[in-house]
Amino acid sequence: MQRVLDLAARIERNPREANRLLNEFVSRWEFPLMDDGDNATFFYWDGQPTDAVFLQHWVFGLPSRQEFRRIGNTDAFYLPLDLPRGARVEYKFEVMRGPNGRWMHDPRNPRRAFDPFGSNSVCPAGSYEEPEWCRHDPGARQGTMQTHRFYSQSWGDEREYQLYVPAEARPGKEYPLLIVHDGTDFLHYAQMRTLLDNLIHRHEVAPLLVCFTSGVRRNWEYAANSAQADFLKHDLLAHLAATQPVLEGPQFRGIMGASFGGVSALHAAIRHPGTWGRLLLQSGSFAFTDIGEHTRGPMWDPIVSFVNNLRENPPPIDAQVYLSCGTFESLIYYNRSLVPVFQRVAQGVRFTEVPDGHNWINWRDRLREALTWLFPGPLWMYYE
Amino acid sequence: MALISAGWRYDEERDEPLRDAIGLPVINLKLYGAFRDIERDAPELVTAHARKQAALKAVKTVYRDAIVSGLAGVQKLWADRRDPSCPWFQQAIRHLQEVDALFLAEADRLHEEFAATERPFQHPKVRSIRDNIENALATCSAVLVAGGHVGVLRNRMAFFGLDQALRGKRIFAWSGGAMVLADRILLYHDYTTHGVGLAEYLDRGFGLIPGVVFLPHAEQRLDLKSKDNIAILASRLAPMRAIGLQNGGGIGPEGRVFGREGAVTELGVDGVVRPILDAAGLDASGLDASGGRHAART
Repeated sequence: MQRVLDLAARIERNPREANRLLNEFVSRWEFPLMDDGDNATFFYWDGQPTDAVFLQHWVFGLPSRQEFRRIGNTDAFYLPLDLPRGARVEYKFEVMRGPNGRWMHDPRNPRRAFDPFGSNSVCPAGSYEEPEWCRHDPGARQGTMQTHRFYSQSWGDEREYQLYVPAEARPGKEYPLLIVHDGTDFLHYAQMRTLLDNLIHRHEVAPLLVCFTSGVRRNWEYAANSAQADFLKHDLLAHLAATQPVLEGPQFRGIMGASFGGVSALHAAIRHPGTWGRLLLQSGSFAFTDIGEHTRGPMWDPIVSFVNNLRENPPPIDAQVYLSCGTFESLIYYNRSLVPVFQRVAQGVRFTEVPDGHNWINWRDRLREALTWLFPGPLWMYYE
Repeated sequence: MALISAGWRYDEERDEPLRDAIGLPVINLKLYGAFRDIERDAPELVTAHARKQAALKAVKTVYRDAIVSGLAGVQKLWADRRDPSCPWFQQAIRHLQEVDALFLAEADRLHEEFAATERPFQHPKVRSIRDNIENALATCSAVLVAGGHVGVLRNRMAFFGLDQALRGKRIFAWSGGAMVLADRILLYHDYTTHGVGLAEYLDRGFGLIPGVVFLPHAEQRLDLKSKDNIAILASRLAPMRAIGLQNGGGIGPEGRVFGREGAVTELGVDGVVRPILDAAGLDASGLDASGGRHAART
């Protein structure tokens, strides 16, 4: 923030030079300004008369709309924010001119994170680094993607999925299977195909088939819906087992999802014990109540009922469970609360929490740790 | 030159870059593919082999449990004194070495039992493949043993009797290939996603270079900055020499070390990693008797 304070002091001494000083300032630095590694100062100035600027972000625990401070009598604004080490914050600016506010990306920050709703600007605190294993590696052999359709008895309609087949696949050999909820989004926003190529090529993750499925009435289907659990086992898994080289046994069958997808994955494992031996649950929407009613709306009713039952009388879960959640999410409380439950009834639990939010980059960044534990590759054996 | 690239598994035959680099005729022995032929033509033998491997895997589970407790004692005693001559530390190391020896003895027993019961070399299909291998070796002036999946490499080579067939040959081996030629094959990795892996023996090597455990890619796979880790590992492997091999470095004829300084190192029981310039002490009598014209490198 010191750089902004110095700028403000110079402008105060030379108010007629404000535009020149601001132009010099914005051409000299990258934004947001990062001090001491993890303290960010957001900055806005476009040379136009501006009434106010707000920071809009999705960090649970902080006011979601924070007002910038004006520099002197200029139309430049700044907002300092202390972030935890290694944090990653997605945000937008709300710029007020008259009564109207306009949401926009930070025009001076080229970093973006994309999701099904569009994109946000990204502020990575100093110690956050994008993992190199999620970038395209020209040396990594690429798996192939296939698109298939089949009829689902459970839903009474046709469903489509995409199947990742590892580069090493060849006739006569069978592979573990992982089913991914919100599959299309995981492919688009979490670079899952690229990172599968990389991690399998490096022998960190076992070669596996990955089925990317997406819901049609997604929130309803994923909200602890028994028809979805039946679809996953009786329709999708049965179809894959009949048509693809899938290894037998729950230890070779994983299911994953984020948010409501995490709920669906856990619900499927509990409704059909012994089917899914590997669970990857990211920022699961595991809302529950200890007393009284929840306030998240009727869509969450079946989830709250499911999680309340789970906590009250947890059944054995015949699976290894990898669980992750961002500390900037309201869901962190629910996820933390489930860890001791899983420790009692599952076959092994790993829980990771990170200073990030409910977003695709958070989920992408955890995939190496999760997949290398759930489907470890033969790295230990490779000397080449 | 004969090439063994079974460690590359399904990529076994993707050897064009190697052929180009060598510039000499290369006969790939295709051991990985040969074993797939055996799977097709002698399923009963492969089933017995898989049974043996499953038994070995079961032994390994117990072995790992024993390593966990054995290493915990060793690490505690070392951390308290950092004295390799401390009798308590030495006793803990001996215990760990006995655990290792017990596992290797169990592995030997299972291999011998399989050989005695199934007599794989008498199976016509295996005999035919071995004849082809021996004919190929007879026409070659040297054998190249590439790395890759060291377990697959060792098992395929042993299945077709290469542990004996390579004796007296000139061999150029690297990474996993070098590991297989030594006395014992140690698996290690201090930088896995989930932390430090506990080093464990895969199996016995072929003993063509006895008294040595090769540690390829030591800089990438071992925490060489930790004197504690190095001291414990070297003590555990002693009296065998723990030789680290880096990219571009190796050991050639008469133990001559080549490559940049520090590319070949020896891990000391005092925790110090020393570059070695001359490995003349290595006994390569299992190799070409005309002068040990062998090379082990990464």
